[in-house]
Amino acid sequence: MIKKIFTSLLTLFILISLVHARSNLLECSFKNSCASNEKEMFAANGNFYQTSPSENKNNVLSSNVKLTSDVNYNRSLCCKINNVDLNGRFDITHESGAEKSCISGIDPIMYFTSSTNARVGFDFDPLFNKSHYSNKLCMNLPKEISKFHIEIDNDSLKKNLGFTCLYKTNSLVNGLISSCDSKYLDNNLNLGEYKYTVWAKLYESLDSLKCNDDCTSKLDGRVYSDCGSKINFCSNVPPSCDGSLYGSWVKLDENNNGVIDSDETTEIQCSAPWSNYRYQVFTDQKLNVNSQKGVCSSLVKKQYSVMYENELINMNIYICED
Amino acid sequence: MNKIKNKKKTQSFSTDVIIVVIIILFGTLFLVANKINTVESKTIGEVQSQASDDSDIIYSSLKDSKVIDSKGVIDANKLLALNDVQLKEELGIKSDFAITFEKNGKLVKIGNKNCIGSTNIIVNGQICE
Repeated sequence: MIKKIFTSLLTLFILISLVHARSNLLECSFKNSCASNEKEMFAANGNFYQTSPSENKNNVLSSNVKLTSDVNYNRSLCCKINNVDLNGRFDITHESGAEKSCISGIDPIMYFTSSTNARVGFDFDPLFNKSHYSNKLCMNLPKEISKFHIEIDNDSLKKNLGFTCLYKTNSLVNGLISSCDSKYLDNNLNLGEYKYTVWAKLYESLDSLKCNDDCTSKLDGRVYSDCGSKINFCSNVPPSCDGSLYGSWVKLDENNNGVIDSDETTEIQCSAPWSNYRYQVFTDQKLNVNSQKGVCSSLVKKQYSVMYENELINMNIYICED
Repeated sequence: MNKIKNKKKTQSFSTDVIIVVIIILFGTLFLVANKINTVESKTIGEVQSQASDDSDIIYSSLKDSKVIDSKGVIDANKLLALNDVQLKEELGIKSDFAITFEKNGKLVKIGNKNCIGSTNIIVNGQICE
């Protein structure tokens, strides 16, 4: 009887450990100095919100970043892998030249013009000219980790998909950096936070994932595109679905042709056949109507109220007067 | 002497006739140009009134074809299937038009489109179709 209880408890402990390890595989936070089991990713000026409750949340200033800490850049982003074996074999490196990938084969985390002036890596902009940058921040990972992935998002959706928030920034190019929970006062009036949140996620290797036939992992029941390396049926699972629940809708970062969804209104359903799309019809874009050059001398608008998607909205008919 | 006088009278008469013809020509030209100008430069009120009428015709047509039902609910699939050129011909509307949707000044998409209508009109960077 005691043996049975002991075995059950041990199994439960292992299961809890596995789930815990998967959900928090990468852990990062800003500190004055990194602990011995942590690696410094980059340093920022210390004059921004720290997690201590005694500090005034509203008094937030943030800074550009530097590859290594010094007197001015005295707040380090410290990261660790929540697995004792794996963490010992994980490293952050600085490599010169931005044109090539990191030696490890992983996309750079950040590009730098010198040791400062950083731009968020994982370049999503087709016009991005890497030749302007001379240094890059790289990561070496143990073979048990199959992928390191960064997502840039302005909401907390990624938190539910197993991503770790690294930092927030007001601009992806040489922007100001703040910690994930910092807020600032806009002209001492509106409490706000930086527009972009940079998320990162480590993916364990295929063997650790233990893929089901439907492209979900036996460990957490979530969808992983990496299952496509072993299961043909999963070869067209879009990366946007990584970490999501089977059948859920997620924002599509790019379509199957690699085209980025710039206005971020397309969603994909994370279930076979992996091609069921829908569009978020309500946008944050201010309506802007104009005509092809020289065609309409004026555009005359008339407005009607209609129901769409269970909401009362305005339908505008624009007549082109030429 | 008389011959010379008659000749001068005849010349003077011809000149008068030419001047009268020129004046009449200029007058006619002025009237025609003025008429054309009047037709082309409609007042702002007239333009708005015409546009308002055209909009109402389009709106009524959308209701007749059940793109908008009796409760004012939009059928997005039917709207996306609309052909603006065909609709213009059917309704006898001369001007190009585009239909967009917004809530509190923010764009509301129809499917993945910003607008339905003429390719001469652009909504938030997307050419209507």
